[in-house]
Amino acid sequence: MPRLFDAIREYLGTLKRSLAESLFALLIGLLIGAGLMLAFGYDPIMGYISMLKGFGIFTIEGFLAVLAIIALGLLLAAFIGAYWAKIPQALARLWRKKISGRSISLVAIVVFILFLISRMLEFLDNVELMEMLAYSVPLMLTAITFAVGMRAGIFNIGAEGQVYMGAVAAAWIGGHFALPTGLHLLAATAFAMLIGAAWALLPAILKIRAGVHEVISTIMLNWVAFFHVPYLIINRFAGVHAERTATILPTARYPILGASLTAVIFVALAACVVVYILLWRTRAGYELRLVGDNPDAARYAGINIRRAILISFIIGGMAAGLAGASQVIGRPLLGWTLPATLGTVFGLGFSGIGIAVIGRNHPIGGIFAALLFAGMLNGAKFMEYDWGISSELVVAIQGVIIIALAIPALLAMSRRGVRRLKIRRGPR
Amino acid sequence: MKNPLKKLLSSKRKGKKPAVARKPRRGETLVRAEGIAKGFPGVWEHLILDHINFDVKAGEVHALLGENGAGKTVLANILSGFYSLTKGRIYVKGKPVSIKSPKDALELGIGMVHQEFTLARPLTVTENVALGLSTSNFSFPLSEVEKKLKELSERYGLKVDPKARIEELSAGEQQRVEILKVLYHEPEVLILDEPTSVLTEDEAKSLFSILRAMAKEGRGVVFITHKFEEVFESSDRVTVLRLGKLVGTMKTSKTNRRELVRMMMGGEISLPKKKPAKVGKIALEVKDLHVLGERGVPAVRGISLTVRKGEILGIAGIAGNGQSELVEAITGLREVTKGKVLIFGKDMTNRSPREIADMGMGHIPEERRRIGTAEGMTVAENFIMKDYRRSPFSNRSFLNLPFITQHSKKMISEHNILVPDLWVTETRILSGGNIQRLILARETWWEPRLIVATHPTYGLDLKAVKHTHELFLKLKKKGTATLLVSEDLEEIFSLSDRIAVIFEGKIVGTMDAAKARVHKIGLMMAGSKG
Amino acid sequence: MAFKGGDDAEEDFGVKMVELISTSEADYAPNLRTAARDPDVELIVGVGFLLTDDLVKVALEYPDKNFMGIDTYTKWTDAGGLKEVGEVLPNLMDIIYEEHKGSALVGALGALVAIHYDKPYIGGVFGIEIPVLWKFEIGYKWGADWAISWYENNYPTQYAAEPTTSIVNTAKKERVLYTYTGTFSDITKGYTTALPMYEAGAVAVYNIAGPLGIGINSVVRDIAERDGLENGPPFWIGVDANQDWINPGFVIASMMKRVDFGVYYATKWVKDNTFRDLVESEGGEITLGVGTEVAGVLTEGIMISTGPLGELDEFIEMGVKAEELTGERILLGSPEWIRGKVEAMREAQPSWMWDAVAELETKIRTGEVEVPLAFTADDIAFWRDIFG
Repeated sequence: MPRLFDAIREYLGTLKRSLAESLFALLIGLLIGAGLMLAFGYDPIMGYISMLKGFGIFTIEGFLAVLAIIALGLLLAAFIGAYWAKIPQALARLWRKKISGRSISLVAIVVFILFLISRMLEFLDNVELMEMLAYSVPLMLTAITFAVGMRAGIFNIGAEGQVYMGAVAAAWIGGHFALPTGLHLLAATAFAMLIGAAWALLPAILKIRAGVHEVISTIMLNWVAFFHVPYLIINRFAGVHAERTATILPTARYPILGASLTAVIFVALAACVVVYILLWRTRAGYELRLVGDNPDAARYAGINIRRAILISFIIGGMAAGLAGASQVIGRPLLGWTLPATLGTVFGLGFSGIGIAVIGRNHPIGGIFAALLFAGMLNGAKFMEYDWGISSELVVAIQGVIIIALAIPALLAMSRRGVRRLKIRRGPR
Repeated sequence: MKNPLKKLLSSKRKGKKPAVARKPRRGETLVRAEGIAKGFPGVWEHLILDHINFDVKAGEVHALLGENGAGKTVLANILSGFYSLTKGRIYVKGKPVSIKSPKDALELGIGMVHQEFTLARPLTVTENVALGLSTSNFSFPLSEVEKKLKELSERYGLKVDPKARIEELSAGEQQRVEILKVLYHEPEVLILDEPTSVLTEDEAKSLFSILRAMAKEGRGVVFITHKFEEVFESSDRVTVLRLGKLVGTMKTSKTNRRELVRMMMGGEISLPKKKPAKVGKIALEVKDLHVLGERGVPAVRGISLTVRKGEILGIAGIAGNGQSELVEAITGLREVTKGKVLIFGKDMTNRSPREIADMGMGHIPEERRRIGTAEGMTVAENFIMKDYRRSPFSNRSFLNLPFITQHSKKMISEHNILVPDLWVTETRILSGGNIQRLILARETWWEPRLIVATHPTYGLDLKAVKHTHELFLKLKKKGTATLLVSEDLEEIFSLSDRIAVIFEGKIVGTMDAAKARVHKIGLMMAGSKG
Repeated sequence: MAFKGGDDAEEDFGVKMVELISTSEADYAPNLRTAARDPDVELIVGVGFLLTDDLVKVALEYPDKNFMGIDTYTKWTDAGGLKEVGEVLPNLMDIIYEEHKGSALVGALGALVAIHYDKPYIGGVFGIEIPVLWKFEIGYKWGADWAISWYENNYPTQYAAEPTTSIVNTAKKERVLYTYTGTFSDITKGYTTALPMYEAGAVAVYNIAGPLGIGINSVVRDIAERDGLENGPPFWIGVDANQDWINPGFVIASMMKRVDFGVYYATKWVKDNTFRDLVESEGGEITLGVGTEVAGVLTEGIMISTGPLGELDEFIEMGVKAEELTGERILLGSPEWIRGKVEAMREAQPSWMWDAVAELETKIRTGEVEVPLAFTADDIAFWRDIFG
């Protein structure tokens, strides 16, 4: 085990700087938010205590329990960080039925930590914590879309439309086909990811073939989806009530863990880890990041830049499609339906941009940023219910905190951009 | 200037000025720095400047000589207010001053021209100069600026059209603008950081005559360099720095090259002795190659050349004569419009960089930060840019991190690269020399059959230059064919078996290195037929 | 509007109301639960049809609390398998409104105004095309059609002599200009959609997109300023609340859907301890509309703002209160001035117009005419085939 401790220390070391920056930014954001509350005549301390309820923290013990879960999460991340190379190999070996003691123990430890976390959730029986986790699921996924794009040097803001498409795709499979349990769930999830990716393929092809800038094409396709999906819902996929899709059949629903939280969270977390491994541990991910960091160097290294861009769009589209599905088959919203107003999926893609930025365009960072954002979303109702702080003011306070958190990362990004310009224009 | 406080401040400044603005006597000490020390946060134990004394006199041209990393630029930046000093004192005309910003320095009469350009490209020359004026409240007195610019450029022969936009100007002209920008403030001390690094030989010559003219007017001129020729050609005094320490200051006329080399290096260099080449089959053959340059203008106009196994072919030429385009065409980075590139007999014209690299070619590119490295990625990731596809660097599409770590560590120790942490350090924070070593290591460790190298030792200290040259000769012995492009004739002569001179996109002559003479090559580089 | 009902209930029954605004549909269930967990809460009101399934879910989780949904259809959903379709929960009540009837009244009024001013069109600015709005659309078109037939029957000579620009001579399918803007929040869309309607000759535009009415009002104000008008035409038609006071003289009338009444009644029933009995006796669904009764008592919720001016005062008062709260000017003038302008505007219209609307109201009330209710895609296709 000493190696594990080393690995954890190393991992925390890499986190330290950005973590410190983020905490400082968080403090600033909280202070400005407190100022806002004061200005409108509310008690900021009580306001924030109410907001904490959204994180499932009602008491000191609850706070400690949440800290314990975060610590376990960090431990798990560190563990994956330390044994990154061995986990896929161990899985592959298991797959090939070459069972060795080591591969079993590695997999067993991962399973055990997941088990611990799930046991803790159960033990806590904390509705608000579950609610927060439910809010975080689509956000961590749409964050992937933007983050993977940025890693490949692409400003992919098409998650919004891809979410709609993924949601309606999942609703179609989930509500209109009778398939056996398990298979149905799998089919609906996979199809949503497929359609999300297909929707992302359009700007990708426009970019690769015709050089159309992805900001233009993704924004326009967002609108196309925004008007097209309600049409599909009302005219093609409507159930008893014409303003929403047919109810998702029970066979296509993720099992509920508590409150609005379903097992889809495990799929989302797995997706984040898979994307992490893909980006940092595989050839394709390496190529993608090299293209994003320096396309000239990527060309020099013999990388097919178009392919890397295409892959980034596809990963992003799949993540966004899954985010859409998570709101339809992975969360009991509006009686397991998707409304034609798109209210249950609207804005997720754009929120994902901010979350990706706060998470430093890293899928694991995105998980933490999404949890933070989700807790604030969930805490909003307490601020309003307990103290009558109007929902607009609550949204403003959330916005201030998010912006403050994003500033260090945005600065780093702009510094990087300026540096690249300098390199391009400098004498050598 | 409506703000009364501002007015007060500005009048105060004006009141300070006459003390400095008095015309200095020739030989008077304008700036004196005493015991200057500089450390950067986190590395206090290692001072970048270790208690340096330095002075500039009116009417002199003072060369600041040192290897890369000796601290020349840091010292210049301290004097001109860009960096703060950790310890020490600065006196201007005998009075102690505190320089907190470049603006302070300019007001005290110290101006600096940086190595990198700091111009706004879409704006005109006049506008760029006006941008730096603190007196202008958004309404720039453009006509006035233009008038003064014309006067200045005539006075010193700094030929620039004030109405030209920066993006239309050549590197040499841009540098003149940079100098004008500083001269506009009428500084008494002008500091230039490696001013010739982007200039042609002619441009460099005219620059030094301009500097001379300025000194004659009673200004003090300091230029930073690591080239001995420039020291002897143009300076009155020379100060040598080594690893952050002052080695000495002396009159240029009272020293010689050998002494300076020893001061700079702390020892003597001897270039490796060449052994006659045992050449083999043709490795690289270029036939009647035509390539377009950046603006669609023909840059390579019918070049043919061959490089054989175990041979180093040096391409000598002044920058901008088509070398870059030639190399890019050979390595697959630029489209060939006409002609052929054959590598080991196989036609590789207009094939992808990957296919060409897979033929067994290493490429040390000219622009190491722009294309040679990905600066936002870690050092280890930069080490595998060319190899990540191969086993054991990766297996079944997964990267083999333990092997990559092991390999990178080996490279680091073999090439003396300074890297804090393989997997954490972003490559951008490495110094130019370390990046160059990283690229050298990456492109040569696998002993490629063919190497295309442009300025392989640019930015390296003399020891590393020696090490690199030995490396090239060792590879040559093992049968590697090398195409070496360099502006540094010393390098060309000490490595090449044959030398080809490129001028305006054509090879104007090829000769055996043993029979070639520097004088003749120089003339050919300048355009006269061999 | 629901706030107003809560405010009135606070005053009359000594209760306290706490609000929770959902920023997205994902907030529904968490918000409902938050209220249901509070031991002091007796009644939880969900406003909007989208809350239907979440109301069922939370009502099942908290059987001791009373729940009421406005515009919901909790009886007719299975809420994704939580209950049977048609099953009524003892603690959950739906309140539904007959917006199609109110829309028919303003549609008729609009058409009559167009006849009076010899204008070819009336208009409608809609939000996102969801089936709920079809009720409004078809009711509005049907009302316009009814009014034109009424005019033809009662004033045949004048009908025949109407100029070509009159709405009676516009093709039946083109009389109502309508656009679904795809938004319930983008006010500028209200402006850009309404402007061409007025330019084409629409005498009045019906706002069925909430805040987009502000955009419609801006068009009317701009036209009035340009032409130096004191009164309409052009007019616009308010929705949900009495919006006549917003721009007095230029709002011909409002289709009032008194959500506040629903909240007020429900509170009353909870305080009376008759809530659960009513849920049982009325089958879980209470309809508020024109001439509707609950347990034998006339309990209406839909009306057109053509009645006594006194009811306008409630809404002006809301404006006054809002001014006091925010310190900003909301009313265009003093309450007296507003009342005067509305009165003058009404008097400027011929009396047969108001008589006709009153006649339609009576006929709807007595069941003599039936306003069509479009709820499915088939319905809307059928009616659009007739009215365009």
